Parts: sequence; structure tokens; C-alpha cells
Amino acid sequence: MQDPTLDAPPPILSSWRRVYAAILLLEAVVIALIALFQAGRY
Amino acid sequence: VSGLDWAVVLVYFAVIGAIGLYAGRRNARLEDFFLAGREMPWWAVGLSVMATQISAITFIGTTGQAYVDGMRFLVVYFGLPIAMVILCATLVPFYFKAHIFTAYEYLERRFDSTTRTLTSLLFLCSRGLSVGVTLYAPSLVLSVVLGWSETATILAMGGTTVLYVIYGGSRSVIWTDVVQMAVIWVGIFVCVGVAILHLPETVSLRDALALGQAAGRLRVIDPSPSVYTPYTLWEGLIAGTFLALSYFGCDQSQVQRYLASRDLTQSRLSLLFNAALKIPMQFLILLTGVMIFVFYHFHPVPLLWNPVQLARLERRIGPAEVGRLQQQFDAAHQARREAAQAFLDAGDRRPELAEAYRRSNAALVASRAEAEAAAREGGKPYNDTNYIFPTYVLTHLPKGIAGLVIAVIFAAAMSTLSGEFNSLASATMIDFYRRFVGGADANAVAMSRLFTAMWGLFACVVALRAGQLGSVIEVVNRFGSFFYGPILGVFGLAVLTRRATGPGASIGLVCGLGGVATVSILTNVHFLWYNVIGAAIVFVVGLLLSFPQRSDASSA
Repeated sequence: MQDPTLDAPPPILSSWRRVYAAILLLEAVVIALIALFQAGRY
Repeated sequence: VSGLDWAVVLVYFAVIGAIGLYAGRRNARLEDFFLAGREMPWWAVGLSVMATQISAITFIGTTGQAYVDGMRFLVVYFGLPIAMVILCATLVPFYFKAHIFTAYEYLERRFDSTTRTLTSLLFLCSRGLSVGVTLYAPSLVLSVVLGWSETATILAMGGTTVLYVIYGGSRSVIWTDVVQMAVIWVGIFVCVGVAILHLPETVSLRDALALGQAAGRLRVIDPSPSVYTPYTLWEGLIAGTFLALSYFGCDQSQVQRYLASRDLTQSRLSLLFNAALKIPMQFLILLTGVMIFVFYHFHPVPLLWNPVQLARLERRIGPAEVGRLQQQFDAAHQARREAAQAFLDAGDRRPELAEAYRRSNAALVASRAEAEAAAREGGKPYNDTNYIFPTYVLTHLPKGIAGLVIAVIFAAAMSTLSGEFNSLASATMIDFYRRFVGGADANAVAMSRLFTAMWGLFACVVALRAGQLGSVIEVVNRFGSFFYGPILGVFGLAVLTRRATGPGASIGLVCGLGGVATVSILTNVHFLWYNVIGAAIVFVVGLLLSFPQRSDASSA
């Protein structure tokens, strides 16, 4: 039997959105640093 | 291995045993035994999630991989932060709202009991069989390098772990994971540090990295769009995300860890902690492999890294022939050393010297190939990648430090095993025994302990028999990679759509498994992409099959 309360995801609070954006930004920076490392910029 | 090293290993076992017993004192309810009373702080859960994920074979296997092939394996983790963010925003809130014990319990509330049974059964089959491999693979390596019997290493790792998990349940798992992860972090820094300090005085860290780069060992990012090429950037970002979504979002061994958090916020923080640290951690582990690669330019390299196989080879082709191979190999090694020194001495990293160095490296690999071909047994190619790191540790690390790194290998193995025993017991208890047999809560904890013991025993038996099972183990490992994508597809249907129904999801799951098996048999698509293919098939088939059922329901 399906529980209707489980149907819709709860809203993401804006503060969490900022945390998520920070994590993804951090990942982009890490990958960019790895690319520089690979290119010999160490 | 010195007495000091053994003392370090013994202290490790004593501390883990004591923490396992102390942390797991209160287990009155199932919620205590499986979810540590839902009162764990985010940092403990975060370290436990990390410790469960990093197995011993990831530790010794990836350093070896970096030695022979370079750091490109790192891209597998590129999808992890993305997956963690997606999970924190979608699936994790559902889990907390549903107040569940197992991930599959949520599927019954969202779909039906068949979907729950099917997915939980898939988890038990895949994880149950792989737990034997998780135990066997590092036991085999440690038994060879330490000179112990396989039985002794299997029982030391598996036996100790299962004892504290039976006694203390999830609390013991999480708190021992915290200590084990601390040991692993210390070990990683020590390994990188010692590998750098061990370079000859004339070779700086920059020189070592330049050699690594010239040999292609620093190559991580390959922008090739081919799905057949292993470990491309896109495979890491896309397929790696699907793999991490499935492993951290739909695999009970991980879900159970963060369900033990105090609340949703703590749970999210524990996952985001992993999102931030996993890539740097794996980078350091792989960098250790590269440093060991450079180190062995200036120190003698064994002809074969596996001493047991080398002894067997000597018996088979005779010591004279092995001596000839060794001489040929040593000459190639000396030539590579000279080429490397010439490349570094020039200072300006001249391309022609880099090319000469690469040729000498290729010549060394070719001279070893003859010994590898001679060491082939039963038609299987010889592979000793997993023996490189332990050999380095035991032959070159200072007294005491070698013991610490052996403790790290034990910690990595035991932290994964503990999470797996605990989660296999919870899925057996919650998804099967409690639903189909029932029982009072006091008996339920006792039964859960019994299930933990059964899974521990099963893992030990599989590991002890793995030598004879051989190719069966390989098949099990191969099929294990088929399950991640399809299970993720079912959870995707649950969270992302309102239309999907239980029968649609269940049939979609079966189609997804069939689809992945077909792709693996008929094509050479690299295996990480199976996660995307499996999830996509289940999602599309599940959704299409759900339309008529929904229409029937609404017209009735």
C-alpha cells in the first residue's frame, strides 16, 4: 500500500542549497587542481 | 617483521577489541543493535561511512594500481560528491521521514512488499557473497607477506570482527570504525611521508613527480568520450555518480550507518563530510603508489612481487632459468635507473631524455613480461599488483612503522567487514525474519546476534574455501557489479516519480538485471557504465509498465 506522504520530496532549505553548492564548487576546484598537477604544475 | 611491529599490531587488536566491547554494552532493543539507538553524532557516522567504504583491497590494490598504471583510477571517485549532494537532497530525507531500519523497508511503503523482498534479497545475495571476498583478498596477501597461514589471517580478521559485531551491534561497528579510520588516516600520511623521505638525497619531491609524470603515472583526467576506454573523465563523473548513488543510497551496509544519526541534519553532514574528503584521501593513497614507483627506480625490484609464486616458478623452471630472468631484469632496471638519473640531472626536463627514460621503462616492463608469462598458472594471467605495497612496507619501512601499516590493512578490512556483517544481519532480521516469522523484541536482539554470527561464519567459510572456489569467486564479483545500477533504478522510480507502481518497479528490476548482463556479454563497454545502463533500463521499463496499471486503478 503506497504511503502518500512519501510521494513528494520535502523542500530543500536555502541554507542547505548553499552547502550543496559549496561542496560542488569544492569538487570543481579539486578537479582543476588535479588537472594542473597532471600538467606538471606542482 | 620485528617484535616492535608485532607489538603495534597487537596493540591495534587490543584497542579495537576493547572499544568494540565497551561501545556495545547497551543493546536492549533492535534500534540499539542495528541503529545505535539513532543517537550518533555526524562526525562518527561520517568516519564510519568512510571506513566501511574503504576496504583493505582498495588500499593495497589502488597503491599497486598507481605503481603499474598511474593514478587514473581516481576518477572513479569524481562522482561521489555529486552523488552525496543528490542523496542529501532527495533520498535521505525520505528515509528519515519513513523512520526505517533498512533501505528496502522504504520501498514497501512506497511500492509493495514484493519490491522490498526482491531488492533486499538482491542485497543479501550480492553483499553476502562479496563479504567472503572482502575477507579473503587481504587475508591472502597478508598471509603471503607475513608468512602466516591463510586460516590464521582469515580468523584474525573475520573472527575478531564478527565477535565484536555480535556483542555490540551498530554502536560497536561505528565506534571501532572511527578508531580504524583514524588509524587509516595516520597510516596514509605516514606512507606518503616515508615514501618521500626514502627518495635518494639527490632526488627531490619535484624530481620524483617529474619522473612519475614522464612515466605517465600522474595521468588522471582522460577526456576521451569512449565508453570502452576505462576510467575516462566522463565515466568518472557520470557512471561514478550512479555507482556512488547506488552504493551510498541503496546499499544497506551504508544506509544503516547514516540511519544511526541523531537527526536528518547530522545524517546529511556525515555524507557531505565524505563528499569533501574522499577525493583528497584517495589522491594521497594513489600518490603513495606513485612515490613507491619512483622509490623502486633507486632500489632493487623483485622479479615477481609475490614470493610464493616466485618460489613456485623456481621449482617449475629451475633456479638457473629464474637466475637468468633475474639477471636480464636487473640489467633493464639498471638501465632505467641511469636513464631516470640522466633525465633528472639535465634539470630542464628535456623531451628527448624523457623519451629515452620512457623507452627504458618499457624495456623493464618487457623484461619482466617473460617471467610473468612463465608464472602463468591454469591459463590465468599472472597478476601481483596487490603485493607491491605490502612488500614495500615490510622490506623498507622502519621498525614499528611497518607494524602500523599492517594494522592499517587490518583496520581497512575489518571496518568494511563489520559494516557488512551488521547490515546483512539487519536485512535478514528486518526484511525477512520479523516479517515472516515474527517474535518479541527481546528475542529479536538475540536472533539478530545469531544472524550476525551466521553471516560471519558464512564469510569465513567462503574465504577459507576461496582457494578451491577460484573462478566461482570471480564470477560472483563480476555479477556483483550488475546489481548496483538496477537497484538504483528502483529507488529512482520511488523518489523521482509519482506514477511508478510496485509491479512496474519489480519487473523493471528484472529487465534491468537482464539488460546489464546482456551488455556485459555482448559488448566491451567498461563496467562502471553498467550502473548507468542498469538504472536507465529499470527507470524506463518501470515507468512504462506503471502507466497502464495507474490508468486501470484510476478508471476502476
